[in-house]
Formats: sequence, C-alpha cells, structure tokens
Amino acid sequence: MRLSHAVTLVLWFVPLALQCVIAVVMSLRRLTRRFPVFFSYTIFLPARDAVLAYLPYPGPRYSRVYWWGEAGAVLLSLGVIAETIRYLVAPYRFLRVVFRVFWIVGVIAAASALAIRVWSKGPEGSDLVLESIILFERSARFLQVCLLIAVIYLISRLGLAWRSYPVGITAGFGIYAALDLALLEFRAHLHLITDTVFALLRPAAYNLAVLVWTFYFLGCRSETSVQSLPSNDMASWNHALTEYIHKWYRR
Amino acid sequence: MVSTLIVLCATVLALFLVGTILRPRLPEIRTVDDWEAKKHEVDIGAFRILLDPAEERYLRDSLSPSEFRFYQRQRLGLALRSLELVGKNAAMLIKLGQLAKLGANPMLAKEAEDLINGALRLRVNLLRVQPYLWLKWFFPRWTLSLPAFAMPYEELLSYLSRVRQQRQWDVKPDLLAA
Repeated sequence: MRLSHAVTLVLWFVPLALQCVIAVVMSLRRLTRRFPVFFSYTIFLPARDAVLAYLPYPGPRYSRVYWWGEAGAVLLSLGVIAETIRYLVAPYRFLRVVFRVFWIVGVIAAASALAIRVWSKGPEGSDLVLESIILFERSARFLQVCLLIAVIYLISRLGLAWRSYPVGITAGFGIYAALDLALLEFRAHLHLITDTVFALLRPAAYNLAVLVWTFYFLGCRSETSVQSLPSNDMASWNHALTEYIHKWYRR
Repeated sequence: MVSTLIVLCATVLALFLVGTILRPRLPEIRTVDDWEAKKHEVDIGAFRILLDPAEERYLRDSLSPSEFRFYQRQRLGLALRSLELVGKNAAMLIKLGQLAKLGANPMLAKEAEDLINGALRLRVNLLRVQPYLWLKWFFPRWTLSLPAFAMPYEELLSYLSRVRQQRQWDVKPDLLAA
C-alpha cells in the first residue's frame, strides 16, 4: 500500500517538475511565440495539479477541477496538433493542399467513428456519471489518435522526422494519446483493469510523454548553419528519369 | 467488439508511427561534408533499365509466366529500393536546406528554400509512385501507367546544377585574380 502511494507520488511529481523545466527552457529559448499552445498546455497541467494538491480528496471540488481540467487538456492537445502541423507546413505552400486533404479525410473518418462509438454503447456500471465522462474522453482521445496518426505518417513519409521540437511534441502526444486510449478502452469498455491499476497506469503513460518532451526540449542542441549547399552529378539522373517517364506516358 | 478492435488497431498504429519518427533511420547531417559522405549513390541507368517498358515486354515475351513474375518482382524490388534511397537523399537535402536557412545569407536562404521545396515535392511524389510499384510487384503482369514525378526531381536537379554553375562563376574571379 505504501509502495503504491510512493509510486503515485513519483508519477505525480516527476511530470510536474519536468514540465516546469520545459516551460523555463521554452521561455529562455524564446519558443513561447513559436509554440504558444504547447506552452499553454505545459503551464496548464502543472497548474491544475498544483491546485488539486490543495483540494480535499475525494470531494466534489476536486472532481470538478480534475475533470474540467481534463476537458481543457484534451482541447489544448488538439490545438497543439494543429499548431505543430501549421509550423511544419506553413513555409511550403504546395504542402498545405496535401495536409488539408489529410485533415479533411482524418476529421471525417474520426467523426464517423466517434459517432458510431457514442451511439453503439452507452455508459454502464455503478457510477454512470464517471462512466459517461470516461466514454466521452475515450472518444476525444480516439479523435486525437486519428489526427496524430495522419500527422506522424506525413512527418515520417515527407522526410521531416529530423530531431526538432515539433517532432518531439508530436511524438510525446502520440505516445500519451495512444496509451491513454488503450487504457480507457480496457477500463471503460472491456472492464479488464481495476480503478487502482487505471489510476497508476494513466499517469505512467503521461510520464512517458513528458520524458519525450524533456528529451527533445533539453536535448536539442543549437545547430550551426551551413555556408553552402552541395553540388553533385544528379543532372544526368534527371535526364534519364525524364526519359523514363516519357516512355511510361507513351504506353 | 468492432470498436475495441478499431481502438486497439489505432493504438498500435500510432505507437508504431511514433517509433518511426523517434528512430527515423536517417543519418545525421550537420555539414555539406556529411552529405557527401552519407548520400546514396543511385545508379540511374540501372533504375531506367529496371522499369523500362520495352525490357518488360521483352521479358514477358521470352519467359514463361512464372519466370516472368519472378524476375519482374526482382526488378521491381530493386526499383523500390532505389526509390527508397533517393527518398533518403531528398530527406538529407531537406535537412541541409534547413541548416542553410539558419544563416544570415539571404541568397543562400532563398536557395535553401528552393532546395527544400524541390525535395519535399519529390517526397510527395514518391508517396504516389511507391504504391503503384508495389501494386505492380503484387500483379507483375498488370500494365499501368505512373503519375508524373519527373518534374519535381527535374526542378530539384536543375536547382542543384544552378548552384554548381553559380559556384563556377564564384571561382572564376579568383582564377582571374590569380
């Protein structure tokens, strides 16, 4: 019992401390203007946890702050996805079309799945309010995971997966959203895990995400500019490739 | 049960994709020398032969169906590998372009922007081409045409040759002075 309490305390304190460090690093490196939503998220969650530490548990005020905080966190995390994609895509006009198509497809797919999931099975169990909230959160997480899948796939396929802040932010959210979705499924839908295990594993997933963010924000070294761009013999490549394409078109 | 399966599939897919961006299997590029050392030499002549429709027709006419399928798959596999390496080269050029943009030289930044645009276009077109080649790998006897991906690479390469020309112009005054 004491061990469980200690683990809970560590899982609560580690992300709180690390997010404060990330916020300081972001301020020092003037990243707050580049990633304002992520900065807000980084401030918001430790602030909520700090408030929760002073509220009596269990109690209606604690519950209200916690669940409203969760709703705010989900909204902010959706905003972070939009911010990351804007940061990656904004400089390249032609990519905006590609990403817009992916967004539309992703949102339609996620909304459809969301509707099916909400309508297919209502909350069940002893605490209907809590079950309803968990079901709603599970649906929101599902939407988040769908969007993250689209974003991460594009980052990976477009060769943008170099170590950078947006990649770190997306990876952290990807880990947390995916694990949280699985846990919510096991808890709310399949009833495979108990509340105690759920309460331990959920912060553990969040700790993983914060560790990824810390690694990226503290580990990203400042890069030096190159003074020239390479030349090579790829012109012959180009000629041969064009010739080949013309052959295909003649078929 | 269906929704559970969808959720678990989404979870696994998301975690897998996170793994791909956390370990992108791209070499570290910090300087032009890194690019020179780590770029992949892709033999365009071999690539052209691998996907040459005339070669394909010849093989189809001269080999038995099973032999044709076998050799065509081998050829397509090599072509896909070539495209993968070209994609890695493009990714490295994107990184170099990003590094060039960090500097204070506006001309270099503009060139870097062009380079990144070209490389990104190439990556987008590879996304379109590779599934076609995979389809052909699964159905080797199926004849289908490819979407255009010559233009972006053309742009990228012509940009690079422009850079080379620019370098030659830069060197000439030095020679004249000497």
